[in-house]
Amino acid sequence: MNVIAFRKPQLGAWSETELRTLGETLDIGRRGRGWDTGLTENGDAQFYLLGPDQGCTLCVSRIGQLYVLEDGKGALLFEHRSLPLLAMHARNALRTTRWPLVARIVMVWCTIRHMINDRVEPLLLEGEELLVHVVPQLAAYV
Amino acid sequence: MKLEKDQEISGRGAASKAAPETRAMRKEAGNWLKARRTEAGLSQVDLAARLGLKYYTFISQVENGFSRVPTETMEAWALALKLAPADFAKHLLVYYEPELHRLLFGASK
Repeated sequence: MNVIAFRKPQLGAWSETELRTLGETLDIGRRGRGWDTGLTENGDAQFYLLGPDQGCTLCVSRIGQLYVLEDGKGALLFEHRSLPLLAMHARNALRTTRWPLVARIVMVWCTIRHMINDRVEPLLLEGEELLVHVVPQLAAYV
Repeated sequence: MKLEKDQEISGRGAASKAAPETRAMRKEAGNWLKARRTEAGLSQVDLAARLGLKYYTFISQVENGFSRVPTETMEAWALALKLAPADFAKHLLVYYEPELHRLLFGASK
């Protein structure tokens, strides 16, 4: 006789273990991100990872035995019965949201280099030309 | 690792000084949306189904004050709640973009 184990669906607030799994995988302590929890009308638990304006950037919900990952605009990113697996997806989603920041840094760097080329280099060239004229005269004087 | 909520939030930068106010406004918007949904006789699951969402969890996210109604779904959201889309959007602007609402419509709600 085969016995199939049915897992009792979880209801209500997050357990300490679930919160620890999310916290450790998302590296919340080190990143210094804000977070909060809540419940839906049906009593399903929600975990909100907050952005700078304390708005939700990622939301993990537990519906029965299923975990659902959504972004702050309600787009469904991932769903699975395994919380550790879902937390890994959440971490990857956070990584991809860093790309706009990287792009901004690259743009600022390019702007600075462009400014240096435009303004500083002509000054240096001018100084070099002056030096070319003055050095022979100085050498002759010496 | 034990998560200490207050500790995490207090460790945030100065850029989030206005955040508690924004959050409070979003929560007010959530309460208003919840009241309109209840008036329309819909559960969060019903509303999600009418908006074509697979799960109802985003409705809760918005009503709990952690997210905003996305502009692209405002019309569908309003129609599901049996409200005029323009009035719905105008009212949400009071909470989401109060300064813009003041510039566009003055002090009236």
